[in-house]
Amino acid sequence: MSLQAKELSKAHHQAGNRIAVLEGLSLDVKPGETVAIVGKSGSGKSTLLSLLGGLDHPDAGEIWLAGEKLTGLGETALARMRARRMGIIFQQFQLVQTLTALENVMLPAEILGDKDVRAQAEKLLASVGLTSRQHHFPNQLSGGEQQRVAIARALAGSPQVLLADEPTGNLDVETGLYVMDMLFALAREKGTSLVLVTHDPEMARRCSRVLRLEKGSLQA
Amino acid sequence: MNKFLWLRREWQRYRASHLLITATMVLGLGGVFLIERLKEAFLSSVRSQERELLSSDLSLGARRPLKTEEIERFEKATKDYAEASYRVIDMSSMLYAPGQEAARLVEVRVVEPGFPFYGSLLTADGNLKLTADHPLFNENCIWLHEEATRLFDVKVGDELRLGEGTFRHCGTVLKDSTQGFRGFALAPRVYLGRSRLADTQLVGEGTIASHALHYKLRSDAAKTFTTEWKDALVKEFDDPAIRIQRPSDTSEQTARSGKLFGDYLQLASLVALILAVVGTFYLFRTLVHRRLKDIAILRALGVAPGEARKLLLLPLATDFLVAIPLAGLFSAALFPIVTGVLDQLFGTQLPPTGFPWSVWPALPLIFTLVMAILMPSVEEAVRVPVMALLQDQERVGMVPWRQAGLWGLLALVSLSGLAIWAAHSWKIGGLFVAGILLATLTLAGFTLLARWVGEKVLRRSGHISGIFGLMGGLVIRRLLRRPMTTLLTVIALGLGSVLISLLGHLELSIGQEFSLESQDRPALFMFDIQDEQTEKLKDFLAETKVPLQALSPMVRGKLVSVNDQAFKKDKQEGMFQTREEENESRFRQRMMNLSWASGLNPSETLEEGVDFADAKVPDGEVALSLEKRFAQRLGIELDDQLTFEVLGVPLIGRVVNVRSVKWTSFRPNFFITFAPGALEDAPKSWLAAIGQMPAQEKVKLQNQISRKFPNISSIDVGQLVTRMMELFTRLKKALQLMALFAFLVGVVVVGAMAQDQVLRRQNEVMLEKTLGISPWRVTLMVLGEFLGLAFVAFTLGGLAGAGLAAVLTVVVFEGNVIWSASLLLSITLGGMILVSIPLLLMAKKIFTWRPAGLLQQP
Repeated sequence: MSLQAKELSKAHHQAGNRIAVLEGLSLDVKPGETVAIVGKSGSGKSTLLSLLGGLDHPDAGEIWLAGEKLTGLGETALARMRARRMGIIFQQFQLVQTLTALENVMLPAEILGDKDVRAQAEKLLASVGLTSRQHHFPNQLSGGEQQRVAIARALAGSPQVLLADEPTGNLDVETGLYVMDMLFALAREKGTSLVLVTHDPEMARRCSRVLRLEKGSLQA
Repeated sequence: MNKFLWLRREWQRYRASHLLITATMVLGLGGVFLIERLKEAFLSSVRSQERELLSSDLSLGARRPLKTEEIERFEKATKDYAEASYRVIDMSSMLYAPGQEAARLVEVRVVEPGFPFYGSLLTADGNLKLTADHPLFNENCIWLHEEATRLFDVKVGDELRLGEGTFRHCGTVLKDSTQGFRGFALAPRVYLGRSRLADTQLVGEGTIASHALHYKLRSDAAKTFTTEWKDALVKEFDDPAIRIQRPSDTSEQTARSGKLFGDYLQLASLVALILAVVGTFYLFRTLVHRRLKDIAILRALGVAPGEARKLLLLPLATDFLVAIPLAGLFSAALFPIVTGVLDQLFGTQLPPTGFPWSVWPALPLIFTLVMAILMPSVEEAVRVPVMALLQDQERVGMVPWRQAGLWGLLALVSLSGLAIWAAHSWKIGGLFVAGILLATLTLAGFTLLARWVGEKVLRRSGHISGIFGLMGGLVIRRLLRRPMTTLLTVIALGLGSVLISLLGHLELSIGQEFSLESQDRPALFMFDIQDEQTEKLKDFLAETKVPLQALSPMVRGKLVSVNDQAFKKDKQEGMFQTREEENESRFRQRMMNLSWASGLNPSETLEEGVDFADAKVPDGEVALSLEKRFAQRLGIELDDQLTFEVLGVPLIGRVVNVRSVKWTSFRPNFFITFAPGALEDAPKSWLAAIGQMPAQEKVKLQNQISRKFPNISSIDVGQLVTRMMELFTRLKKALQLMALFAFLVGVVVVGAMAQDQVLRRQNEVMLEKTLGISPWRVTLMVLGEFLGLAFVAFTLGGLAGAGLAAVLTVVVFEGNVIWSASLLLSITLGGMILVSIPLLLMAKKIFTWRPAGLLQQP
C-alpha cells in the first residue's frame, strides 16, 4: 500500500495571471516510509499536501492511495477516504473549539462509526501525555498541548498515511522537539507512512527521505 | 492619535461589520421613527380638521340643558367678538322605520340654521347648506348619514319615527366632517332641525343629552380667546358639567384614543428596537474581539485606557449618527404601506409627514441604552492583558461585576425611560419593561439551565454521537458550548414571538370571555327609562312574558371632596405628562353616574369591606360602595368620606366596601353605588336589561319597545359585542403588524448573526470536511444548529407570550386563561420558515468551502 502522485500539475490564478505551482510532479511514498518535503516559502509545499490529502483537486495528473485513485472522486467519497485512511496535522493545530480534548480525539473514529471509541481515544491521549487534560477545551490548553491533541486525533482512525504541515511551526524549540519525537515514535509504532512538510532541516533529516520542492517539481 | 484617520481606517478594514451594525440600528430606529411618523400624521390630520370637528371657533356645552344665567355669562365674555351662533344637541335614541319594521339605536344630532360654521355635510348634490329656510327646519324632515340609510335600508321619502315624532327621510349625508373618526362609533348619526325637536319629546328630565352653544368669532379674536382666558372662565363657572371648547380642545379629545393606540404601537416598535440593540451588541462584541490585538498593541505603545475607549466607541457613535437619517428614510419608505393597512382597517387616511421630530427626546435614551449594553465589551477590550501579546495570545480583560452591574442598571433606566416616553404612562411603561425583563429572563434562564444540564449529561456520555447521532451530538455541543451566541439568538428570535403569541392569546381569551357569557348575557340593554315609565315598562314586558332584569336607577352628581379635601381638576387638556395624570384629572371634572342598591348584584363580587346590611356609618352619612379600579385610580380607600353634590344638594357618603364588577356581563353596573335611602328623591332615569331570547323575538321586542316607549333607547347586546370584537380584532391586527415587524427584525438580526457565525466557523467547517464528514452533512449541521435554536426560541417565546397573556387575562381582564397549541405551533413553524431563508442563502457557501484552505493559512 502506498501513496502515489503521478504528473501532478496545479496553478493558481491571481489578477488574471496564471501562476504555475506544481508542474508534472510525481511522488511515491512506501508504507511506513517517512518523507520530508522542504522548499522555500511559496514553493507549493502546502499545495502539494492539500492535493495528496484530497483537500483540493489537481489541474492534471493522478493521485493513488492503496490502489485507489483519488483524483476524480467526489467530495463525499474523498471525505470518507480521508476518514478511513488519512490523518492530517496542521501548523495551526485546528482543533474543534466546542469539543474537549477527548472528544476531539474521538471524532475521527466516530465519523467512521467505530464502537468503543472512548477507550481508544483515552489510550491515544495517554500516549501523548494528556490524560489529565482530556476534559479541557482547546482554549484551555497551551500550544504544545493542542498540537499533541491534534497528533492523537490524526492517529485515531488508524490511518495509513499521515500528512503533517509544519507541525512545530507554532511551537517553541523544546516543545517542538518533544512533539516531533512523539510523532515519529507513534508513526513508527503504527507503521504509518508520514509526509512531513517542514522548513526545519534538523527535522527533515529525521525522515527516511528528504525531497526539495523547486520550480514545481520534487528533487531528491 | 488622529481620530479621523483611525475612523477612516476602521471603516475601510471592517466595512462589512460597520455596515451590518448600521443596518441593524436603522431597522430598530426605523420602527420607532415609523410610529412617531404615524402619530404625527394622525395628530396633524386631527389638528387640520379641528375647526371642522368642533364646527365653530368656540363652544359652551354641558351634558344637561344650559342655564340662562350660564349662557348670559358666556355671551358677556364673548360679545365683542362673536359674529354668529347656533345650538347643537347630541343624544342617543331609537329610530324606528315602520316600512322595514326595524328599530335601531342612532346618534341624533339636533342642529340650528348655520350649522356647521366650519366643515361640511357632504351629499350626492354637494355640501348641504342649512339655511333657515331649509326643509330640515320647516318640514317633518330628518336626514340620515349614509351608514344609517344602509342599516335601515330606507330610501328618501320613507317614514321614520324618532321619539314621539314622525318624520320623512329627506336626504342622505355621505360625509360629515364634524364626525371625526368613525372607526370607534357604535351608532350611526341622524340629523334633526332644532325646531322639530319638541315633536320627538325626547328631551326630558333625566334624559342624557349634550347641549352646546357654538360661536363663530371675528378673525381678530384669536389673541383674546387663549388657553389662559379659557382657564379663567372655567374657574369662574366652577362647574364640572360645563365644557368650554376651542378647536384645539376638540382635536385633543378626538386624538385621545388614536394617541393611546399609537402608544401601544410604539411599545411594540420598542421590542424591535431592543432586538436591534441585541444584534448590535453581538456584532459590536464580535468586532471588539477581532480588535483585541490592535488594542493590546496600542496599550503597549502607551495609549491610555480613556483614549482606547474613545477609539472603540467613536466608530460606533458614527454608525449611530449615520443610522438616524437612514432610519428616517426607511420609515418614510414604510409609511405608505402601513398607512394603507391602517386605512383598510380603520378607514383613516393619514397625510404624509416629514422627519418625525417628536422622536428627538427618545434618541439620547436610545443612545444611552446602546452604550450601556456595549460598554462591558469595550471595557473587556480596554482591560486586555498587554502581556498576552508576548505569548502571542488574545485574551479579553476582566470587567469587575460591580461595573458591569452599573452598566446594566443604566441600560434598565434608559429602557424604562424609553418605555415611559412611548407609553406616556408610568404604569404601562413599567409593565412593559417588567414584561420584557420577565420574558428575557425566562428565555435566558431556560437556555442557561439547558446548558448546565446538557453539559452534565455530555460529560458522562461515552460518545459524541448519542441518541441524536454524530451530527446531532456535534450540533448539541456547539449550542451548549457557545452560550453567548445561543443566548443572544434565543433572545433575538424569542422576544418577537413573545409579542405575537401575547396578542394572539389575548385575542382568544377576550373572545372567549365574550362568547362564554352569551347565555347569561342580556339580549337588550336599555337606558333613558324615565321614572314614571318603569311600572308601565314592567307591565308591558309582563304582558309579553319577558322579565325585566336589573332595573337600576341612575342619578347624576359630582364628587366635591374626599375626606374634606376638594376634588377639583388641577390641569387642563394638553398639560398632562402621563396618561395616569390625564385619567385621574379627567375623573376630577366629570359628572358621575350614581345609583343605589340594597346589595351586590350577581355580576359583582365583594373585595374589601362589608355589605350595606352590616355597615355602620356616622349619622348624616350614607354607606356607599366603590368599584375596585375606580377606587384605585382615584386613590380612594375603605372608610374614606366622599361628599357629592346632586343638583346642588350635598350628599355625604362613607366607603364601606370595594367590589369588583364583571363588566362583560352587560348588566347595569356603576362605579358608585349608595345604600338605599339617600338618592331616591333625586331626579333620575333608569337602566335595565332583558334576558336572552331568540334573535327574531329580540328584534320584534326591540321594535315594540321603540313604538310604545319612543324615548327609551335599547342596545342589542349581541350586536354590541360583535362590534366590540370587530374593533378589538382591527386594533389587534394593527398591533400585530408592528409585532410582525419586531419579529422580522429579530429574524434579520439572527440572519446577520448567523452570517457572522458562519464566516467565523469557516475553519471549523473545513476541518470537519478534512476529518471526513461529507460536505452536505457539514452544511446540514450548520443549518440544523440555527434551525434548532430557532425552534427552541420560537417555542419558548410562544410559551412566554402565552404566559404573559395569561397573567394579563387574569390580572387586568379578570377573565379565563386560554392556550392555543395551534397558535404556538404556527408561530414556531412560521418563524422557522422565515429563519431558513437567510440560512439557505448561506448553505451554498458552507457546502463549497474547500478544506484546502486550512493548509494555506499563515
